[in-house]
Amino acid sequence: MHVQLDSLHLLIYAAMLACLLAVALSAVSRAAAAGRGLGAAFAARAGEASFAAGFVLAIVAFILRWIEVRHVPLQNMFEVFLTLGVVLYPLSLLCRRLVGGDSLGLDAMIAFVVLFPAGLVFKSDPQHLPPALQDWLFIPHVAAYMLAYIILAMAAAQAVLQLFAKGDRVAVGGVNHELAAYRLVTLAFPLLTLGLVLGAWWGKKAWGDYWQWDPQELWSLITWLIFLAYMHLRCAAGARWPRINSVLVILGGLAVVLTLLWVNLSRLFPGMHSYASP
Amino acid sequence: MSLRRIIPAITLSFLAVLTVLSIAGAFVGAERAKVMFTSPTMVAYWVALLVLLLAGFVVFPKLVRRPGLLAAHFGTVLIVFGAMAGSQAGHDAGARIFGRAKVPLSYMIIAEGQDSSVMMDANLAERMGDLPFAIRLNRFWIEHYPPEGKNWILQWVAWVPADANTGQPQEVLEGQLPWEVGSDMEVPYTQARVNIVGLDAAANGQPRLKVRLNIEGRSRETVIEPAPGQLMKSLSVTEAMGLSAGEQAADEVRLLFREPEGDVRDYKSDLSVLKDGNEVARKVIEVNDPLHYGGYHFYQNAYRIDQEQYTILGVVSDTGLELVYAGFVLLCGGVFYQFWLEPIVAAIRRRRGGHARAA
Repeated sequence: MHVQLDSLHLLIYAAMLACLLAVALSAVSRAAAAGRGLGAAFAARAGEASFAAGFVLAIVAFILRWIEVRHVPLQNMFEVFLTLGVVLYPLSLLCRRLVGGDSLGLDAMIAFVVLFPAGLVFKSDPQHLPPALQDWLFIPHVAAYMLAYIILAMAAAQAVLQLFAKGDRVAVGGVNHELAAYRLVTLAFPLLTLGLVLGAWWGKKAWGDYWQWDPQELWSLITWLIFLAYMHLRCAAGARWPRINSVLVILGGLAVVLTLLWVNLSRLFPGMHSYASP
Repeated sequence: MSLRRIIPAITLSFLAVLTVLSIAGAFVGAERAKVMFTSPTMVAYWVALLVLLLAGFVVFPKLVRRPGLLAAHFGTVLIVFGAMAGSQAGHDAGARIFGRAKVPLSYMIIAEGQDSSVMMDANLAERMGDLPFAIRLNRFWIEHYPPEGKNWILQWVAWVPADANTGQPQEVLEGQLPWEVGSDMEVPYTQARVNIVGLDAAANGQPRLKVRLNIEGRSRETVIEPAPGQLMKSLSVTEAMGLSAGEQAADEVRLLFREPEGDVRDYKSDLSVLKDGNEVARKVIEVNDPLHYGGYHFYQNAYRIDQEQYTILGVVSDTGLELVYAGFVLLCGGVFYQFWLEPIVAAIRRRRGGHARAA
């Protein structure tokens, strides 16, 4: 872990602080709404503004990085996590509108968690795009996965709440956590499928085969299969077994983390996706 | 227990088995995973999966009535079927049934200006078959990014003579000297040393490397400065120091001061397809942009440079590919329709219905 004081990293740190402030203000808002304090609406608005400010700071960092490397910054782990931090606020707005409920604090916490390795862990040395990454499929393939992963992280957070929240299965917005997780997965699953299919198509163009049995491909497939199983179970049994549904969503979320971090960082999984290394 | 209960349970079991096998496959590496997933046992699994998918259409009419579910499931059938057709076993079956012998995966090595129709194995050691046409390599080249921020390279080149006693042929050897101002290094194949005195830029912007050559009491200071617009300048150490045969183990030794190459941007091969000696197609291929001709894709796989430049092409049969691509489109279209479009359409209908009732 290392602190860097260039403008790019300072922007990321500022975005992280704004997200943390949003988390704190969201907690204040909840406490006030529960009758333990005043100004719930004000704290909620301030939390939203703080999260939005974090987004603005992150997107300025993203643009600076784009100018510096002269390609869409999605090449290495630093750039991927910076991008995850950028897309979180707009996705949070969209999901809160589509799913309902008040997940601002939760989403801001996820934003902080994904910006943390970009700011403090991964190397940010600019790199040229290697030949295999110079294709128009690079952006939609990675972007589809990034969007899916963020929404699935939100779904996994809802599933954790469903499993562990005592007597609080209904979120502030009146939406059941199990239902919220399901709605989020239905939003992410098409993107996950698109990422998998675009990756296969790109693999065919670049390497000659749409499926190479590469560890990264297999972990992406594992993630997809877990959510596919969840969709089938949810379709067959609905919310009859909410805890099993939630466990599957959490397992899917863990598979996302493994695919994104463990497979890229561990030497256990050498493969053709080596340019995704830190 | 009815089929409507059994099939979902079997489906979940199939997904669980594939998930566990995929986890195992991720740990054993791509080559062994490929062997595992294409083994006869797994072929039985894939066939059973196809049967299960088709049974789903019969038992659950909803799968047929709802366009999204129909497309996604039928797309999966096409992907599995296309992948089986494109496998080694699928190619063998195609050869037996249709008499159409194709090699699923092979490689070609072609020298610049030459043509070939020979398909080799991955080690380029064993002949796997011949194409019904030939591929000519008109030109192979590598493109680089600009060498931003990199130091110019100081390199030595030695023309080592043939040695009749050892059978050593005449050869040109070269290597880099890791330099910085102040460093003092041996010049390989000589008894001379080179001392880097300084580096500055000429008025035309070209770098000027000031060096001092030393050998047993003799010393000479000189500047290696590429001419305007040139990317390299060489200095003969042999001539500059007047090296005798006893002072060097080569016919000549030179220092080269040259601009560094940037990172590789792309590998490109200009290919022609020849049928009966006539060119019937031509394309410059590069990574991500293969040539497609005669049921095969030709990929820029690798290259080799020794006395000549060679390109190494990956040659991949396209059998089953259309089915897989059609399956991809149906699968993606199906899930987007089912989970994105259908809820939007339903919401619009509900809203319109509400307005109509209100009116």
